[in-house]
Amino acid sequence: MTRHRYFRPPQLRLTPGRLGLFFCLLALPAMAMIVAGIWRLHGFYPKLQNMMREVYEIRRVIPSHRGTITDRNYELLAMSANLYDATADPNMLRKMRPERWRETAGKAAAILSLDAEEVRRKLSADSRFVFLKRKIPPAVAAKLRALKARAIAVQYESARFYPGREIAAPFLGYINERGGQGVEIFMNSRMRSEDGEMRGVQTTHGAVFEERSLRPAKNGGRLRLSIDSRLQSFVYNAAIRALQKHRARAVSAAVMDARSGEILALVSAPSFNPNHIRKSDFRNSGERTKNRVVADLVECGSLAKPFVVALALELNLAREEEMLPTAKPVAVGRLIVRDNHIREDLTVAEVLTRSSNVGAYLLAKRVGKKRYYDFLRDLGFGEKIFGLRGEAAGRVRHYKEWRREDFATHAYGYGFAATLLQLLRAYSVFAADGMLLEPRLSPEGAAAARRALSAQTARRVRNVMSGVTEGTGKRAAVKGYAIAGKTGTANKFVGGEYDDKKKRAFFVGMAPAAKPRYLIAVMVDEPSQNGESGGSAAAPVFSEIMRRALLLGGIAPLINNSEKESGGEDAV
Amino acid sequence: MRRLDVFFERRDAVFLGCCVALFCIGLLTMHSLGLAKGQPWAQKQALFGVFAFALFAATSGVSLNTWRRFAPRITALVLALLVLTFFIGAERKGAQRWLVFGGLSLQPVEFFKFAALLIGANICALAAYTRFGLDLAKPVFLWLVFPLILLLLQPDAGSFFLIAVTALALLFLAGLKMRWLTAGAGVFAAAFAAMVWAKPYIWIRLTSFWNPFDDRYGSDYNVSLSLMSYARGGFTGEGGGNLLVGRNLPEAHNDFIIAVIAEERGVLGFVIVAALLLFVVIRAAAIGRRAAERGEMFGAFYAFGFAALTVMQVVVNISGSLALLPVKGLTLPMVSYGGSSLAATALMISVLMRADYETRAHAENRQ
Repeated sequence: MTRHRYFRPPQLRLTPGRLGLFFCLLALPAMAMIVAGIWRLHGFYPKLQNMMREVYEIRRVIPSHRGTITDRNYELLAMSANLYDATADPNMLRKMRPERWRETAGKAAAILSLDAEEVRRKLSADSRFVFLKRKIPPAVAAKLRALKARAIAVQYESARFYPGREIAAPFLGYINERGGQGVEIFMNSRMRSEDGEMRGVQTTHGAVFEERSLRPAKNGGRLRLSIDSRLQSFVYNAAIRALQKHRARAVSAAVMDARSGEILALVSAPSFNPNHIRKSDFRNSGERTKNRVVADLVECGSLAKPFVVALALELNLAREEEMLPTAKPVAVGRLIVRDNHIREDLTVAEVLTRSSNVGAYLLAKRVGKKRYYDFLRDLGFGEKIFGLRGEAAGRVRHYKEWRREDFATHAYGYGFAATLLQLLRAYSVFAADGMLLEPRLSPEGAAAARRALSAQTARRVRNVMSGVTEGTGKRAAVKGYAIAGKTGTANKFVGGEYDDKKKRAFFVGMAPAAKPRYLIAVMVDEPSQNGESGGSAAAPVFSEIMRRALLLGGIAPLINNSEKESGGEDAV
Repeated sequence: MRRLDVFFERRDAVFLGCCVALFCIGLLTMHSLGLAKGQPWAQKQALFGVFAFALFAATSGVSLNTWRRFAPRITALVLALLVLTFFIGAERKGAQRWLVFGGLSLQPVEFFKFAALLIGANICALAAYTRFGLDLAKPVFLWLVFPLILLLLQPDAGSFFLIAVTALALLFLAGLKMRWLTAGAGVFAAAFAAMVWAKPYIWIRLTSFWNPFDDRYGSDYNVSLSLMSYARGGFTGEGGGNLLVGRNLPEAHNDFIIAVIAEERGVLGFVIVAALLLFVVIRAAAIGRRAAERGEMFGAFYAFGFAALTVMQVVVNISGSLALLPVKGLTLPMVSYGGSSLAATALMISVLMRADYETRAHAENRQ
């Protein structure tokens, strides 16, 4: 028995039976594995799908582009630039070897031109996400990508960029995640874009596949403004020069096409850089950010006198050459209407050119409260023009609330509040032969105008106003052109009384006087040096701007300085 | 040219073709995986491949008889290396399996698989010819049971299981009586139980595979990702290099290469690899049967052992990736990354081809 104790007898070894069983035992686990594998995978499949989604699905924003803003010549005023944010995953980076980590941080810092120490500090945070630097240009983003550090990434960000920087900032405004103002907000519905969304799974190389849902991006529409950026930048620079020269608090100016009502420039200085908005820009209730042309409510002073004169002429209650007893002050109730610089009687025309308060009151008295009030309303005072954010409507009290003194002050521009743009609109009556032009921001579409004065009267007043260069507005003259306009100086109403020291200097004028092409309003707020009146602070600015506007408009100057004017046709 | 003709005339060209195809598939997968992970696996594996081929070419002239005679010495050498790992071994992945010489690291257990086949076939061939079985107990204990205990101590449960089952299968084929076979299996089971009792965490590790999503970011991380790879690959796969899951899968280049293939090439790729492996096993078994018919018992047992070993290794590896068995760090033969594994496989194939060659030569001589 012991002979075959362990192994079967030789003739029974490696029998077909044992071999068959061996093969079966080999096949069995393989078969079992296949069957069980299919069964398990089938059972797990829904769960695995969910896990895949959870782990690998990404949501991607399809970037959209906010519409650009251009000027009338399609020059860009605001655009959406493709910028990037540099981000990092510090926890992932930490898995690198320390020396590699330092090297990567150093390279990233060099590319982003950041302090290497600061980058290292950011990268040592216990976090899965930090911003290294925001709003980096595409070229820098490409360099950062070329680093091929998986934990450092760039993500798309749409950023608003204003090539003109300060020149139109208060007017164009800005828009960001916290809000905005100006045209950006006013015309937001036109320019607004909507980001699309894509859900998918990302491959190793960052390509997205297996899109699950797709909402396309909607780009915003382009906005073309009537602004002429050449003029806008010139006006801005002129305003800044005036601001410095007169040590003024602010300077605002507007240029209007006197034929169509299109606004060609709208400037408010000081301004801000909309590409880098700082908190300090908003100090003193928006000192730098507000658009003073529509936001500042002012008493216009002498600028109101042409309205009185025009109404008196229109109603045949006066003639230009008629003499008025302006030499002596007039007492109205408790108020004494006086002219500090006039000691003689003036004609109606001279009341305008030399700006006599007494004369204006005498004429207003002839016109009467109601008709004067109605005329002011007809000229659009007390009603908003665009409806921009922060725009003021102004206020004209009803004539029945006027006391005698109030009526007198209304005649020379105190007691009612208006914006500079409203004044510009009111003066368009004289520039457009009696039609009140509605200011427009778009160069497309038809002009809107309503008649407020007869064409004849408008021309008569304009003719009178062209004498301003011999009167208060000598420095408003533009060499080679005839202009018409009016100076204004108003004391500011501060703390319940009129402050003699704080003034506003105005000039509103048009050129060429025979057939105006441009209408310009300038306001210098609180000039404190080198002249404080409309004639000395605002008129020179007007002159500068008008000269440039006429040149840009291609309007030929008068030859030999003759009295005959070439008119408003484009002669060049 | 004529010599090459003769080489293939007497060697199974289809078998060799399958092996080369499997190696190339592995290389291709490692290429895209290496790109995704930034590792030069494909290049290194190609180098290993050249070395393995050189090893195959160099040893294909060694006669079966020489292999048989040198089997104990080869096994002794490998065992010495295996024992050495206990003293100067580098610990990787929680097990002492590596010997590091300079930049070269060696995994003695891979070579022990080859040695176990040689010594196993040797013992079984002896058993087929000897009348008295008792003197066979000594080599069985010395060359098989003792090294297996070493493996268990390492602990390398995967290799232990693999070689133990292969050895039992060979002894079964050699005609070991069922009661001894059962006793042997019982001893192994008891040893295994003792190990689990000594280190209870092993039991948790061995059973946690069944619920692969319990601890998704802990112990089940690999397996859950591996399953995700299969799910993502679907039927046709996501295409070469499109490795979303695979790039995050640890040990994707060796333990989970089949999951990577499944993600890239889908069920189709999986089936192709499985079919090639099946073919390799079937051809090996056929070689064994031919050798047995010719009475070349060493060759026959060697071939059967090779078939059993390959099947077990493939099943354990793929089942691991499918969460059907615990992941045991076994490579997928010829496909997975690894120089030691590839070199050992080349030696195994070399001897198998020699068995085929000698069987055919024997048949021709007889005619």
